Amino acid sequence: MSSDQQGWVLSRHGYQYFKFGKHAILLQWPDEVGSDLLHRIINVKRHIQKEEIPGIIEVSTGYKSLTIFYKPDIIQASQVLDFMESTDFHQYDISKISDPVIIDVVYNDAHALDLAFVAEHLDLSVQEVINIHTAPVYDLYFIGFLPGFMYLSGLDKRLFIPRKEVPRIRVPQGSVAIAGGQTGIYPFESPGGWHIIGQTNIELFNPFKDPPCPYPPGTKIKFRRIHP
Amino acid sequence: MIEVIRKGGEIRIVDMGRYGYREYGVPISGAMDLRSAARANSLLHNPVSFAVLELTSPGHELNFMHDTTIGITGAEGNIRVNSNKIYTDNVYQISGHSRLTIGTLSKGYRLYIAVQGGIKSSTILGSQSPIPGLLNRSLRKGDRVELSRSDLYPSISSSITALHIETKRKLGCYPGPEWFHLDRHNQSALLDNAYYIDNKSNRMGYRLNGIPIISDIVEIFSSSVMPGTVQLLPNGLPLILMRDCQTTGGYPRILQVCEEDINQLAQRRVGNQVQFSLLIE
Repeated sequence: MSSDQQGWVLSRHGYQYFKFGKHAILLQWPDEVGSDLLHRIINVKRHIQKEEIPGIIEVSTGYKSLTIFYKPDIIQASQVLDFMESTDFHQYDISKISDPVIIDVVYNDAHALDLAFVAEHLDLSVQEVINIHTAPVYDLYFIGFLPGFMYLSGLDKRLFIPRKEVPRIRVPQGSVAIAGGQTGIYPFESPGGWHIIGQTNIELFNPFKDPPCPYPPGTKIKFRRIHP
Repeated sequence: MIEVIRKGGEIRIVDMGRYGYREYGVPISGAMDLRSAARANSLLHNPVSFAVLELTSPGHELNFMHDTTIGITGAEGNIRVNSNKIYTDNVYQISGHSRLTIGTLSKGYRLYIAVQGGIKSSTILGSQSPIPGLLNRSLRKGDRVELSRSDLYPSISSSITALHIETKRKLGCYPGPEWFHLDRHNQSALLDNAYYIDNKSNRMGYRLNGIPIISDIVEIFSSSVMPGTVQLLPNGLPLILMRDCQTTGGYPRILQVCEEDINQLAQRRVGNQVQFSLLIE
């Protein structure tokens, strides 16, 4: 542990860990954000979940991090860390190429409030924006910001655009949007600052289902243009 | 049943929160002052997980339509059942058709009312608390809260003590993951400064006013946040995340307020002072 990184400790597994308050341990990898790291993080998450350790409530992930939430009256941080250090995180068979989930999107004026603006701003035609957006297979990194909001990787650099200067008060449910080098779908109506380029009717969050979201982190996703 | 006759601030049905769904982006929610909510139940020997009413700021009036027993905790002030003054951290038997009014509050900001046998409302993903932004069930004038009249629940011994509200107490904090991104000068400035709760504060987070920290620390790759996480905003001021906060965030997490003092903060209102102190292990 170096003195200029107070509290962070290097694990033999290559990540650093940090006691985040009294209920959580944060793991953070130095690796670049990408598919490889995503699968390593999901692998660690599955190992922890599979053990069903009493006192560990849940595990959530970020771009290059994983957080273990525990109940300190049932398990101590040191016991969680002992488990982590003594576990062999051998690879699960999750790296195999799985077929992407196809999400149908309507990219037309009525549902794509900012599509024309985006095209003009990026010096592309509307058709080019659509082609570029539907070309890649995106990785679902994690869900956050709103219940069911998927953080996706792999937006083409040609579609990098800053957030709107004034966020919309109401972004409709199912809006497909881009901003800040990312693309995403609003799972329900909410305020939002991303540019809306399309619309999907896929259900991304249903609190009356358990689990409430259809796709777990690690899912591969592709957008397909449909005509209404 | 309990009917909402008049509303000051918000009235909500809350419990200990929603766990196990953070990986789907679902906030924990639950009572802002968890300790007082749990205490209200424990006064009645209810399980602490029972839902209670959370009444924020003064100006409420409730009509208790049937005989019941309540435990009342949290803020103190001019609280009456019909014309009789009642006191926080006590149990009262309420007879049917009584009016409970909450006038000015002398200490604290949120009151909790537990009802013997509990409150009936739908449980969604394991909790009766609203899901922020989606199932945002703040009660309205005329709403009726159904009571559970079950006596089947086993009595449990009350072990939860009342929160002693101290409006000026410094909030005890652990270093956050990005604390070390601040240089020593900024670290001590943050601990020396007095901040004041901004009027844009809500159940997701308390914004603070005060002297901004001037630093060049940058956003991080979105990672976990939780109630009590203190983020440093680009304007140099801290934001303290509260019970309804989102599950991930990109602002540097400089401190983590200890659980006990999140409850203290929940009892403060706009304009009240906030200071941080570092808890040394």
